[in-house]
Amino acid sequence: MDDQIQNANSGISRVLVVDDEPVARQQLVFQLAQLNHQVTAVASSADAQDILTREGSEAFDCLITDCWMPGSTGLDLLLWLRQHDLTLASIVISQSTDKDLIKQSFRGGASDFLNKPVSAEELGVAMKRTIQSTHRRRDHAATGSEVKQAGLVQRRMNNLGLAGELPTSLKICYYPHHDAGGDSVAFFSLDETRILVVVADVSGHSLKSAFISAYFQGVLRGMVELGVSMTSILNRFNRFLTHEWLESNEDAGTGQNGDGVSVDHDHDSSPEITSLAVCSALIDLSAGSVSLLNSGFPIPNRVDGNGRPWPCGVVGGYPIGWFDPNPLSELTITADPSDYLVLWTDGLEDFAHQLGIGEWSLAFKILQVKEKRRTPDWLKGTPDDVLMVVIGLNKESKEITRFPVMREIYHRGQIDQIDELQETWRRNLAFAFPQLEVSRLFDILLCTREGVLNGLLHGCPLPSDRCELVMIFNSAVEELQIEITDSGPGHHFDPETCEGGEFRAQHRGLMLIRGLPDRVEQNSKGAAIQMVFLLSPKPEVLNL
Amino acid sequence: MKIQFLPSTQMLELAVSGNLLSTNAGRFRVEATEAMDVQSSGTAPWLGVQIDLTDAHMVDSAGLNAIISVIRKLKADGKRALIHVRDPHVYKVCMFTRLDSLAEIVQC
Repeated sequence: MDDQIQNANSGISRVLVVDDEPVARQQLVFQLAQLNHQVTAVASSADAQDILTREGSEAFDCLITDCWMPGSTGLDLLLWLRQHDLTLASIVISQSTDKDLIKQSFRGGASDFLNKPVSAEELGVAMKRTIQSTHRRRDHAATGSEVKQAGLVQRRMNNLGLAGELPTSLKICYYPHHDAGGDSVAFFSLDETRILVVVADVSGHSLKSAFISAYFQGVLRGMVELGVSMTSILNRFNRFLTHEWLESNEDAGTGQNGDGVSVDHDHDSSPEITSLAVCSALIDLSAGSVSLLNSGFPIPNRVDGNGRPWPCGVVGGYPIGWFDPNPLSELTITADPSDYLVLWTDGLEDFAHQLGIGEWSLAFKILQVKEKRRTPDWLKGTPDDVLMVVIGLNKESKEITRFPVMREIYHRGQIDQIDELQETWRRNLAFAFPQLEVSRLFDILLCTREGVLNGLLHGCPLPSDRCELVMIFNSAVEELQIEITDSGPGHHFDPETCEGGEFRAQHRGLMLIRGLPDRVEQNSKGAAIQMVFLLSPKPEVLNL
Repeated sequence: MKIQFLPSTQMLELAVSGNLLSTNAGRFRVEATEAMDVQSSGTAPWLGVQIDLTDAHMVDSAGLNAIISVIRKLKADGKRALIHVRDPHVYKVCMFTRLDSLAEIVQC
C-alpha cells in the first residue's frame, strides 16, 4: 500500500504486462517506460498469477494482458483476478476486433480494450483512465473498511453508555443496516433517582456521519459530566453543525483529488448538511416525571402498566444542524412506576412502512427477539438502522409483559374503507403472531370489525369524533386485548339487561362481540369495549 | 353473486363470491330479493333458497342481517332456507348467532 501511495504521488505507476509474443511484449514495455511507468513483463497468464500472488496485486496499478495466449488466456487471467482482487483495473489487448471478444473482455472486468498494434497516444489515454480506476476502487475499499471500523467503535460506545448500575430496567434493540453512522444511545445515571437517556440518529452513513455521531457522544458525555443542561448541549451542538462543520466541509469538499481530477463520490451519499435527530429523556423516578426534549426525532411513547401507549407530544422540532437558532421546547409528563418509555428511530418507522405494517407490531416483534446479537433474517431487509429503547420507569428491573401491538385512530369517513382497515389488522396480526390459528385470527378480525364499525357508525356523529383501536399483548397469560373506544354517548339501551330474540335480531354485531372473545368488558354504554382473546391453543368450544 | 335455479332440488341458489361483509351485504340483499321476486313471478315451482357461502371465510353482522332479511321473506312465503358453508369460522358464526334456528346450515 505504501508503494502504491508513493507511486501515485510521484506519478509513477507500476504496470504488469502479460503477452506471449516477445516482440509485442517488448514494444509495450518500451512504450510504457516512455510514459514513465515502472513495468514488469511476463509471458503467460500462469506467470502473471504467480507474480500477483507473490508480490500482491496491490503492488500494481494496472494489468495489461494479451487475449490469446497458449494455455490460460487473458480472459482466464481476468477471471482469476476478479476472485482475488476487485480493485486492480486491467486492459485487454488483441489483434482481433471481434465484437464478442470485446464484450467478453468487458464482462470479464476489463476497464479497456485496445487493438494491436497500440499507438503511444491510445496507450497513454487508456493507462491514465485505468490507473485512476484502480486508485478510485482502492480508495472506496479503504473508506469502506474505515467506515466498518468506525461502526464497530460506535457500537462499542453504545455499549459503554450502559456501563455502571442504572436504577431502572431497560432494553435496547439495535439492528444496524449500515456499517457506520446511524443511531446511538447514551445513558447517564445522574444520581440515585435521576437518569438521562439520549437517543440520536445522525443523517447519512458515511465516515462523516460516523465522525459526527462519535463527536456528539463525546461532547455529550463530557458536558453531562460537567452538569450542563441538555438544552445547552443541543444548542451548542446545533451551532457546531450549522457553522463550524459546514464551513469546514466547504473548505475540504472540493470534489476533486490532488490532481484536479473529479473523484467519484457515489459511495458517499451523505448530504452537505449533516444533521442529528435527538430525543433526550430526563427521568426522575422519585418525582414520577419525565422531561423530554425532541429535535426531529419520532414521537416517544409512554406505555402504561396495562400496555396502553400514550404518545408524548406532537412531532418534535427540527433536527440539530438545520437552522440556527433551533428553538427547543421541553415537555414534562407524569409517569407511574409501572410505566415504561419507548423510543425508536425513524429506521423502525421506515421499515414498518416497507413491510406494510404499523410501528407497534414491528416494535412488538423486535422485542420478542431473544438473541439480540444476531440479526434475524426478517430484520435483514431494513432500509436503515433500527434502534428501539425501552426504559422502565421504576427502580426495579422487571419483565415487560404487556406491550402494544397496534394503535390506530379512525374517523367516520373511513367506514367505507373497513375492508382495507381489516386487511391492515390482518397483516399486523399475522406479522406479530405468525403462529396464530386461522380460526382465532378470524374471530379477532370479525370482532374488531364489528367494534370499529359500531364505533364509527354510532360513536362518531361529528367530523371531529374519533374511534381508537388499541391492541395489547399480555405475554404472561398469552392474551390479546383489544380496546375500541369512541367519543360518542354509547347505546341508547343497556346492553347488560337487553336479551331475547328481538335484541339478538337487531344487534348481531354486539352478539358476536359478546360471544367470540374469551372475555368482554363494556363501559360507557358500549362506547368503550375491551375484548380479550386467548392466543394459546385452547379447545374449540362455542360460547353460546 | 351467481344466481341459478337448480331444477333437481327446485331451489334457487345464491352463490356469494368471497366474504359476506358490510361492504357487499347491501348488494347481496338487493340482488337476492330481485331474484326471489323473479322466481315467484314465474310458473316453475320452487321450494326455497340455497345460499352458498362455501367461498366465504368471514360473515359479519351486516352479512348476517342480509341473510336474515332473505330468510324472513322466504318464511313469509312458506319456503325453505338452506345455507351451505365450508369455513369452520363461518359455521361457528352461523351457529353462534342462532342462524341454525332459522335456516338449515349444511357444512360442506
